[in-house]
Amino acid sequence: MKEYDYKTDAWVQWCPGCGNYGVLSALRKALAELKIDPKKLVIVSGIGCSSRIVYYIRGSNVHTVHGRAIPVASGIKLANPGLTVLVAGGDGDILGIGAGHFVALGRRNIDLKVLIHDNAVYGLTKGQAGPTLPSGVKLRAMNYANIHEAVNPLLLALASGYAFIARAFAYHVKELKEIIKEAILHRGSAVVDILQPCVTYNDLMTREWFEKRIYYLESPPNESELLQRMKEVDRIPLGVFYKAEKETFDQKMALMVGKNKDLKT
Amino acid sequence: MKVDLSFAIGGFQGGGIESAGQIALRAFVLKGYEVFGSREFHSNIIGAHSYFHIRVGGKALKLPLNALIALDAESIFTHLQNLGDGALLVCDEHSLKTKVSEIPSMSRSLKKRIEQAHGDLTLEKILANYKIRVVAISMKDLLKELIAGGQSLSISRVLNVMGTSVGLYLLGLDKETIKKAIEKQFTDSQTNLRAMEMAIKEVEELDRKELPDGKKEDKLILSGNEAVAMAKISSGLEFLSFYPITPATDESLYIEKNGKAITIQAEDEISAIAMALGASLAGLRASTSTSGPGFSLMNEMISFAVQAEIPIVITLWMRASPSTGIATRTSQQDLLHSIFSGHGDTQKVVIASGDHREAIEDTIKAFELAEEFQIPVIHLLDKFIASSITAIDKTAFRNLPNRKFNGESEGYLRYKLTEDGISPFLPVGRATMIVSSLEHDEYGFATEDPVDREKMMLKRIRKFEKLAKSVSKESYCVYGEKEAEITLVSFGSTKNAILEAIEELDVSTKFIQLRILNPFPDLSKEMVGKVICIESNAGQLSFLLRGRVDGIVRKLNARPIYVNEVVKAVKDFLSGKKEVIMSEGV
Repeated sequence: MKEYDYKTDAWVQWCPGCGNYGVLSALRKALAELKIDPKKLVIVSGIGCSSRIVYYIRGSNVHTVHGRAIPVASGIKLANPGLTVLVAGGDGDILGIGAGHFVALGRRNIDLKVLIHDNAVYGLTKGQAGPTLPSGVKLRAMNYANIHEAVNPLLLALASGYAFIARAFAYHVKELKEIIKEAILHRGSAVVDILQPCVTYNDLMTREWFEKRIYYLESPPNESELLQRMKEVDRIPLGVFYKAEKETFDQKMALMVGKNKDLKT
Repeated sequence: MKVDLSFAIGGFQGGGIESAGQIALRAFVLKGYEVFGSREFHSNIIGAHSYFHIRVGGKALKLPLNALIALDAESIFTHLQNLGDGALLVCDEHSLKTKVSEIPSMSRSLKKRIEQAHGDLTLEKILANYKIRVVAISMKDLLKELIAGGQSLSISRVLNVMGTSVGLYLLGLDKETIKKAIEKQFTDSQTNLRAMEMAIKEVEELDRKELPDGKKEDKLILSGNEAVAMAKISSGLEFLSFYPITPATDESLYIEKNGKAITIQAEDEISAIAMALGASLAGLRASTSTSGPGFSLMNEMISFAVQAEIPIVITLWMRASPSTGIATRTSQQDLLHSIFSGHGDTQKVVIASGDHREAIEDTIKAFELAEEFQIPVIHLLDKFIASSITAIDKTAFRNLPNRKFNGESEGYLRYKLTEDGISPFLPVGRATMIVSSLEHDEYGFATEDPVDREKMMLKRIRKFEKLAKSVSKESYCVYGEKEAEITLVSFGSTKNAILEAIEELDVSTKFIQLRILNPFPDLSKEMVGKVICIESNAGQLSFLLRGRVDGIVRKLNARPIYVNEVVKAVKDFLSGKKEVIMSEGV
């Protein structure tokens, strides 16, 4: 399989320079390297700029409604554990309206891969504060500075029970591709928080702003420094933070199903 | 001899009312009678008044009561107003010494009404003015005797068996039948059988008339929740997700325990329906089950299911709303909500069942329609059906063949424009495609093109028109006389009370029972004479029939509809009342 095999003929509608292009490219490359059959690939997305990715990658994809990609994907994966099921959405989609489902997925440890296109703003509705936007920040389209605190996707994922937690940068396509591959190969619920600057509405957290702050972890931090690494804000660590081997929900479910006898009617 | 009995067994929640009712139902089924039992209870874990209303010789509830088996004084106070002349009251001696002011668990309003009607007297004094037969036994003494006999297992749990045994015996059942019913009810019935023997011995000398044997048949005794659960299992359900809510949950738990479907408790109702839609997209026969508040949350996903053309069966157990309302009582207040659920032109099917047998048939039918037309089907039921119990013929159940898929995995078009609007369906994972919530072209790509949009709108309209045509013959049932002076129109669980009522009315009556409420059938040729809507809500069906309705008979107190009040309501209407409210039930 080649990267080209995952292209569709749909016109990519993102703004020039958008971080989503990096995610799209890295994801196609990762899928090609893992040789995932497009028919067995299911990308489930919510609503928002990033969710349009389902139209740009050949797969057996599902574009759902705002915030609900995770439960729809859960149903698909439980129904057919043989599929590679990815969830794509923005921070607003997954950590705002869909936060309950995000937590539930961690608790269940279903073998799903969640890619958060994290740009801290709502792009399609024109620049409102997203759940990961730091407090006190006033972006171009906002009326007032943000008075909400930001949610930390990594800490939330850890507290919820995710088996794989990583952070990546959308413009570092090669590194992002490797992290996505690792997430797909790790059995269990995985989240990759992808820092993905919005060139139109987020005039603070720009490519340059990130490039000054990011650095790569050499290896997943040990338990004693894990929280501290996840909480860092002045310098932003990238890479795989956490990996745990544990029984997945779909495996447990498979044991439960079919145990009951046929109903005689 | 036609046996027609209506009686209640009442006590505090947690006091074994459920088993008492089950024993009574089983006993009459064993004897060969038609039975119907309805459970009324508070939204509370333990303590508040709860009762089982049982009808023998009919499928609907009727008042006044022929008998009351009261396990505590509150039950007698609560049901006083429903005791008919000559009714039998079985109770504990101690209850008769009780005044209403001494009952802490009773609602303030009911207490006030009783004090206003009777003053704060002991039950003994109040009952002196009633033409009823009081059989008071000393349950305390019997309990002491049981304990002295070496029986120590949770002794207070046998009070329900004592009262019920005495009641059933005096109503004319033989000891052997009661014994069999008790044995069927409990896995270890020794203490209960001993309690039954002792209690019946106390009343053996009293007058009673033994009932003749009825027609004995091998039937299943099922609640509405169980009937639907079994129907889902027999239809070959493969995936069920739910979020706990009264009165829907029992259905899901039954399936989890007895079915082969993947059954999952979701984090909320949005997730419940979303997961079921995901499973359906992956090719499984999928369903979810809920009640009003949960259904509210599911609305957006219903809209998604319509746009993305995903089969799903949503079982909606209506309870008394709006908002949280009264969680454990019944109503039909979600009719319009179900028909108009979802934003946009959201075509879906709404089927309503009138009783347990129909609930089974409709559950299976719902899957057939959902899958054939790739559309959400909402199966409308209510708390009254959910928790009422009756004997069901096993032939009501049938199996469905596996879900059918068609379409070529190469060049597959998820939303192929076809003449009848139905596109080939392949599960995700078998072809590349896009299942889309956005308006889309044939492949599934998002589009805002006006021509694409119009084509897709017309495709969905054609599909729904075909569906409407295919269900038109079964969308309503007509009972009674073809040309009648009055036509009663109703839907759902009011069915059997209305059917019995029209037998009793001395005016020629026709009854139209709506089975499919969306697509809504054309009733214009069926409605003859004066048209009266009967419904347990503020007038939602009347709204749908507007312009053609002469009278509305409503029930608003969150209790089931009784035969006698339907008769009275129709008479009131004929004597000139335009709007009648039925208020029976406690």
